[in-house]
Amino acid sequence: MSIELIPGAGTISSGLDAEQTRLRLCSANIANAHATNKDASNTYRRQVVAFESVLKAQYEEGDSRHFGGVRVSQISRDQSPLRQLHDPGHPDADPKTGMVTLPNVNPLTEMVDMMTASRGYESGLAAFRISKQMAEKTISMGSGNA
Amino acid sequence: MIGTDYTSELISKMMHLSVRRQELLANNLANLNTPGYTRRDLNFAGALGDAVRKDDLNALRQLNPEVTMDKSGSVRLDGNNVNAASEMNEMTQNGTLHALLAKAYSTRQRILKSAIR
Repeated sequence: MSIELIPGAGTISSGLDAEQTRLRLCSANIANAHATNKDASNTYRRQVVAFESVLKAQYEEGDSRHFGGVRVSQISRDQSPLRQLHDPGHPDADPKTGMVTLPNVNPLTEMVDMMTASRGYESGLAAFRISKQMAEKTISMGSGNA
Repeated sequence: MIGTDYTSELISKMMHLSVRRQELLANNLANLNTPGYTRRDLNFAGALGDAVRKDDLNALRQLNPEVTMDKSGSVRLDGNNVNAASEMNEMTQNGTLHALLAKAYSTRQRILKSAIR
C-alpha cells in the first residue's frame, strides 16, 4: 500500500485511463468507417469497450479507503449486421452481386460516444483539481492562514 | 494523553472524513460510464454528531462511518445512477468544507498559541 496524499488520485486516473481507451476506440472506429476487404467476412467490425468497477480490494481488506476505480473489462467486436452498398465498380465488390460490405460503424454513434467519453474525462480532471486543493490544504494545516 | 485539544482532534477527524468522502466521490465519477454501478457515499454527519454529543475523545477517534450504497436518483438505462453534475456539486461542497476545516484548524492553533503567550 502506497501513501496516497491526493485523495482518490489513483481512482481518478483509472477513470481517465478508461475514458481514454473509449476515445481511442471511437477514433479507430471512425478511421475505419469505410475500410473494405476482399473477403467480406473479414470486414472491420466496430470495437466496443466495456467498463467494470473495481471493488475487489474493498471486499478483501474490508477497507473502503482503497476503491479501485474502474477498468476496461473487455474490448469486443460489435456483431450487428454490416452495411451493404451496391457499388459494382468498387475493387472489393462482390463479383456476382456488385455489393460492397462496409463496416457497421455509424459516425453519429461514435460522435456521441466520444462526447460522453470526453465529458467523463473532463469531470475526472475537475475532480483531480479539487483533490489537489484538499491535499494542499492538508499539508498547510496550521501554518499561517491556511 | 495530556494536552490533547478536543477541538483540534474534532477538526482533524472531520478533515479526515471529508478526504475519505472525496475518495468515494472520485470513485463515483470514475465509474460514470460503468453499467450497473450504484453510487456510494459516506454520510458522517449523524455518527459524528453522536460522538460529539457524548463528548468522548475515544469515541471520536474510533469513529469509522460506513460507506453506503445510494440508490436514490434516477437510474439510467444501463443501471447506473451516477450524475456527473450532482457528483461535482457534492465534491465542490466537500472541498469547501475541507478548506473551511483547515482554516478552523489554523484559527484554533492561533487561539491556543495566544493563550500560551
